[in-house]
Amino acid sequence: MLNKLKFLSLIFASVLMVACGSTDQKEDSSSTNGADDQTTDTAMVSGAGDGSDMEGSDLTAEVATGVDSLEQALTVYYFEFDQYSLSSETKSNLDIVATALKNSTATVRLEGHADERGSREYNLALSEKRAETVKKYLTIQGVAASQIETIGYGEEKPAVVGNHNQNRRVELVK
Amino acid sequence: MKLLSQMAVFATLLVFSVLSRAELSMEITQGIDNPTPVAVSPFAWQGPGVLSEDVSGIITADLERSGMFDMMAKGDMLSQPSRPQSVFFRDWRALGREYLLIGNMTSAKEGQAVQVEYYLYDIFRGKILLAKKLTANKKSLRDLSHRISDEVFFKLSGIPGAFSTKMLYITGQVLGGGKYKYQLNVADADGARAKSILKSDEPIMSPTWSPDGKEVAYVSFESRRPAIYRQRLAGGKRQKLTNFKGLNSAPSWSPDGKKMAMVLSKDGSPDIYIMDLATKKLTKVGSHRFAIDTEPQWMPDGKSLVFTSDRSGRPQIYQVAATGGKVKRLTAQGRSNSRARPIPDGSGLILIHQDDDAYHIARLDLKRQQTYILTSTQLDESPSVSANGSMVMYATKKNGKGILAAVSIDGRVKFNLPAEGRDVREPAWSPFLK
Repeated sequence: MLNKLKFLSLIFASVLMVACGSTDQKEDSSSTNGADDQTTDTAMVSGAGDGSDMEGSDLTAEVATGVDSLEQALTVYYFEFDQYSLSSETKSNLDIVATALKNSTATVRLEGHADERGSREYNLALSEKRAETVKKYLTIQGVAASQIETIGYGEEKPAVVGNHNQNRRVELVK
Repeated sequence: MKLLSQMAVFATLLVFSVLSRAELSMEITQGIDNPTPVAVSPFAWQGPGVLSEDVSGIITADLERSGMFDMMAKGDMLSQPSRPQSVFFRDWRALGREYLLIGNMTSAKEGQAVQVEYYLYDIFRGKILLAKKLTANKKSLRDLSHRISDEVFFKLSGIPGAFSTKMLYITGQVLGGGKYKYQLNVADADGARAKSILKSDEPIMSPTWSPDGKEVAYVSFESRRPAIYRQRLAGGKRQKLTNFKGLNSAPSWSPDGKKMAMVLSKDGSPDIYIMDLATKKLTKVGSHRFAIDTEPQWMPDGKSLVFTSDRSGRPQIYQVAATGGKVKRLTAQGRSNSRARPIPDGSGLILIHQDDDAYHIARLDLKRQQTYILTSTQLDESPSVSANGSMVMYATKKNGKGILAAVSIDGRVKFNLPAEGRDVREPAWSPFLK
């Protein structure tokens, strides 16, 4: 639930809103969805901080045509210890992401993270490598590099304190 | 909207000093086998009012923290002399003390300076080792206490004391819901007088000192991307040094204060750069096209740098001349070695050594090419060596929480600096302060 690619719906929503002439569509969609007027099943997601406050069932329904398959893609990609290569599961999810991004002008931010083992500065560099690897994969699939921003956070923003497997990740955020 | 969110980030950033409630405490976990028995008789006070600091208590705690001395409890003393005429060597010999420190403080009027007199005795030889008079402001009695500790420590061990030094450290809190809080703090080496010098909702990392101890540098993500800043401790004035695309990480001041080594990934991969601080000109050294190169540190002579690289697969320590050129690998033992910090005499490096699945603080003896593991906890990181080269402060985990700890470079003395509440990490020990 946490990792579902609801945000892609928002990309499409953004595209729709561009047509309405708004220059601020991203913020619009986030502010309409960040508030409490959500359906209860999405409002209380556990505090992993993956931007899941972007989920909005109403909006999803609005742009649902043709994007049902995207619901299956993940926005958090996990890595092996001290590695930045992509798993086959990550790659197949990124293929879906790439298709969606190629058909939009939306920009995304890839945030790399590491577990707490090893030195902080090395982990910072490692997490940036992870984000860069995801970016490289997406650009090879044809996504414009200008649509993707990357950053490494090292071990500074754990998803789950002390959980190595869940902290070694790249999060795709709008 | 975007501007507004940037302003919100700015508003949460406080660059001025705020007194912190959570001071670090101290617990010695391991001392040397036969510590030297020392007594510090409570310093007498003659003057108006009550003193805000327990001078002899601070000195006792300092000497105790070195792990080299067995400090006598006040209650066990037969007498508490504060002037030379009331010292009876026989009494202290009977108590098995080898050294005795006494002192007294006087002030004629409220608001006037405090005159401090102190004497250090060798009990067995019946000899005075130190007899000094100092004048201090009533507000700087903590500084005065550490200064006396430094002198006594030097007299007894032959090593300059580093009790008057300070440290930087980072505190972090996971607030939940993707929110975090970070703080850069400065405190005395014993954890006292802690205050925050930077607060942010985004990570703060890699604090480090200028060689004169007047400035600090660090990495802050406050603009949602990492940038290297330098900041004056007095007044808090600061300057952004780099803000390149990608990594801006691991600043390290050269011993002469004129250059700064750092890590930038603007060319695609994390590389080591040296910035001339006057001209801002950047020179790349020791780089490898694909590898992670990070954590540069100047050797004490300023002629070369050590750094971490995974060019051979796992992180190991390498050395390169400050002018660039060929790179030499320094570590061979263990699964990985990282974040080296040179010992001030240049004899070795303190680093993080990975042994199977645990990370320990270790010392690499550069002459013998031998690694000595100093700690036995599992997730030890961020070592920082004291100015006198005798102790290493580092970060570790206790009950899942980040705490600071220290170990002597021979591994014989250990103590923890537990703090209340928040995660404490990345200690950076200051140089000697003038």
